[in-house]
Amino acid sequence: MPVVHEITRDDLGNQIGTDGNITVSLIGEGRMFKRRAVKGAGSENAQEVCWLVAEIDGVRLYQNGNQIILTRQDMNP
Amino acid sequence: MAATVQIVEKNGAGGAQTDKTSGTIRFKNADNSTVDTSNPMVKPGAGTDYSFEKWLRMNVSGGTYTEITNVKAYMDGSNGLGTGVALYAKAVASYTTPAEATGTAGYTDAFTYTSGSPLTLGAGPYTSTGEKADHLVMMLTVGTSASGGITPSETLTLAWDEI
Repeated sequence: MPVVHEITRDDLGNQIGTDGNITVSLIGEGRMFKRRAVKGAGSENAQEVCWLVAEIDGVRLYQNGNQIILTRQDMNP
Repeated sequence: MAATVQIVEKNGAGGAQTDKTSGTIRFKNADNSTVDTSNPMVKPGAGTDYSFEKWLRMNVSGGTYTEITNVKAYMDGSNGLGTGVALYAKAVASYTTPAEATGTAGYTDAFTYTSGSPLTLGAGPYTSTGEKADHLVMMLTVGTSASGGITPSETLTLAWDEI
């Protein structure tokens, strides 16, 4: 099974996302969501991918495994 | 928790679903989801052989989620199907029985849809289970310069945002 992030809020309303290994905390205003994909759909090599995205004022942090990207770009798996 | 998402192929007048998330989508000269060598594409002596349309759609079959947005599809940007073989795509809201394509009008070369410039299937938000967003309608053409045999597979990606 692929790792799909969990997104929750703490007692202060901050958004917390984790893949069970790495935790990303978004403190204050902003949004957090999962960018999911099925790569190789329609083939036996299909693979599910999940990125965690945290965004503040158009700046996005993408986290996938040990890789983190900080950018204003709209990126897809 | 997360949504359980399938990519389904729809066939026939009623749009019967077949889960193709990890199953081969075979372009052919018939409206069915069977992966076989019946009704094959034919290298024409002149002109172009058009496949039947493939009507594909996101289907949320279960799981727990709040909403899905920003549904899109794209390829890897490089046509690996071989010389003389092309793949086209478009987004369509309402289902109609798949028919044999007769031209490329209304379609776009599927390989121009990449991770940096995907085909938008729906902004959403979508909730609950069932089919979501527009259909991804694809069709394949074979020209006179094509080689025989089964083409290599290509990589279609369906992506969405989820909370």
